[in-house]
Amino acid sequence: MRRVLKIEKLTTGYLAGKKGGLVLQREMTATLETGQLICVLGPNGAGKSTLLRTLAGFQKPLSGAVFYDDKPLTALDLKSLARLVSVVLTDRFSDLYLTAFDVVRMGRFPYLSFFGRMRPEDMQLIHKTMEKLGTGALKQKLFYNLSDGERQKVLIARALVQDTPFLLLDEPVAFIDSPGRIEIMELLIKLAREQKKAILMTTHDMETALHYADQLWLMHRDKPLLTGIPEDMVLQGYVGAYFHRSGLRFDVEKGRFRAESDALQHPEKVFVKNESPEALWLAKALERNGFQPEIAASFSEKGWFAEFAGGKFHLYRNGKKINTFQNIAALLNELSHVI
Amino acid sequence: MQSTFRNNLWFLLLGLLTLVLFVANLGFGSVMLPWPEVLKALFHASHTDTTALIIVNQYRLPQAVTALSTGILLSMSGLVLQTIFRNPLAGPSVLGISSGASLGVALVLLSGSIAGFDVSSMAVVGNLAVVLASLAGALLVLGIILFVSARVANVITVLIIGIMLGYAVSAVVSVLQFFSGSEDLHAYVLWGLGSFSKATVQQSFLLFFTALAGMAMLFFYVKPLNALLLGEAYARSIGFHPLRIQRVLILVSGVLVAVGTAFTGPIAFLGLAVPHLARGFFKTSQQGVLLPATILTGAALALFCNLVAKLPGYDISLPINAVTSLVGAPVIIWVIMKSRHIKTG
Repeated sequence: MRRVLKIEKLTTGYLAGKKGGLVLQREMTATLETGQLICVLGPNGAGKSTLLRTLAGFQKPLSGAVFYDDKPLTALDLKSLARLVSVVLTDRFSDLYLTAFDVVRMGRFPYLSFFGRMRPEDMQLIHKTMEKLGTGALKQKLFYNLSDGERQKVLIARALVQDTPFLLLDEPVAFIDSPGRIEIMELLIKLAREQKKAILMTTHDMETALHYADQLWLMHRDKPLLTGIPEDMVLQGYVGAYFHRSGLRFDVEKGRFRAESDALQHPEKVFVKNESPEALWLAKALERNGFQPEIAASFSEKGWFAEFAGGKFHLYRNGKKINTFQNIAALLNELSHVI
Repeated sequence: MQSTFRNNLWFLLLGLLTLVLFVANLGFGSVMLPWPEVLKALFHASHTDTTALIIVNQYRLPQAVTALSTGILLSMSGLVLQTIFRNPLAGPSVLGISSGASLGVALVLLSGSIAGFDVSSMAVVGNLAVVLASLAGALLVLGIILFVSARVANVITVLIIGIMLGYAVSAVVSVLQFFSGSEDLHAYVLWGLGSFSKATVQQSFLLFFTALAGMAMLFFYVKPLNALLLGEAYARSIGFHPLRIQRVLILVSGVLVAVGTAFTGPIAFLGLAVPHLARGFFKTSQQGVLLPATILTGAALALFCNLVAKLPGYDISLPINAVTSLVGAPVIIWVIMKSRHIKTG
């Protein structure tokens, strides 16, 4: 069944207190459907978490509305909302004896009787889900003893046993090492595709968002919410514009930011023959050290030329071999002495 | 699961321990009674020595029941408050309820010497007046706390306000103490040291039924208490209304503490320390296990403290607060040493 989360002219922020309210985002309009993974991408302070908290019903919107399957969020009571939306938050809890299993178990609470007795099918679902997420061995481990990556997976398992069509995650890959990050993102994509969940996650990690999201919701404190597929957003310059910092420019080819004034210490070009990972890493090292690497298809008779062949790095000038090196460091060392 | 077996073993052990300590509380005291006499007196058997009958039924039984009930009341309130505030150092004293009770009692016992009449010498009326004053003071502070908690969105704010209120109320008490005569002051200080022996037979059973009612009520809140372990946002996301639950539980545990304090005076550390002992025994955070565990541990520890305070075989007895503090403080230190590595925030 196709389920839709719709936001209409949603303005988020904090209610006016004595010091006056704080408006974070104005008049946002967007939709999220089952089978989709959406990344809410924006710099720190853009209001990503506030948007997520508003969608989950933790705080009231300042104006506008959120609809789950055409039903306004305000018309849903907590019990029905709990069967519709599950969350993974950055909130920490530190009870000493809370095991991973205890945490996951809570996901079943919306379905249990008054006293919270677990039925066999609840237990089965918990065990199955924890196994599937590779957290089966962690069940009896204390939650606070787990690594950040393990915790995140346990929290995702908790959200999954809640068995909701919508899944909202707040910064699920922050503080996670890169293999762990890929693991979690692959898991989320699979959940969207195979279990037809509608997944929305916030992140400030551009590379993750550009690589995995079906759609980006770009956010910025002073700019309107923009939605679209990552590639279009990059090419139309929105990603660059929304993350703009003075002194940085967005490299559309590489999909990342770099210093604006890459002061080149060595204006001469170094051609690198592109045929192996070693050559690509060599080009990277040259760039970082202020040279101007250029990928070349074949041997160049003119200027500096470097290639990786026979397990070694070779350096040429105007077609004449300068030297052979065991590693990139040695080549860089030589190059910086002769140029 | 294995832990179920372990838990049952602990429950059995604690239950037996409570029973043994309860009987020991009846058997030991400043007067040495032979065991057969104690048992005969307890079951009102014929040919019982009248002295034994009076000592056991009029003094030792209400004292033991008071200790047991107060232990239960304070400990389960402590567990509930630690869970809803998500703070290991929360306890009955942090809501300022015992301070409120002190203020009520201080007004009754001390204002006499300032205004010119004397309550502490009016034996029976005096006892009842102290009980009612304590209850009124405690409920007044609880009322203020609830009034505040309806106006702030953050439960930690309530905690801080409770502690501050406790300080403010204590300050008023100090002023009263400063201006009162030495006899009244002595009576007040004695009350402040706490005692399980002031309650009458009827009062001790009133305490016991309050404890039973409290238990029954709190068992209905096991599921929401579990949900709150993950914090308010998660609790909300699985269908609970955290603020509503917190307010009801502050009210319930506040009334339980107020009633306990009214008959025994402020008892230090029990409410704070017992939930930690129970966690240590059962190594779980599941409230469905911890609640009965805390109740049994609280009953056993209060009876144990009372037994120690009696100094069996001696003519004198120690103030109960000194004993509970001497037992409680090491427990708290143990908890802090143990949980030092827990990340907070």
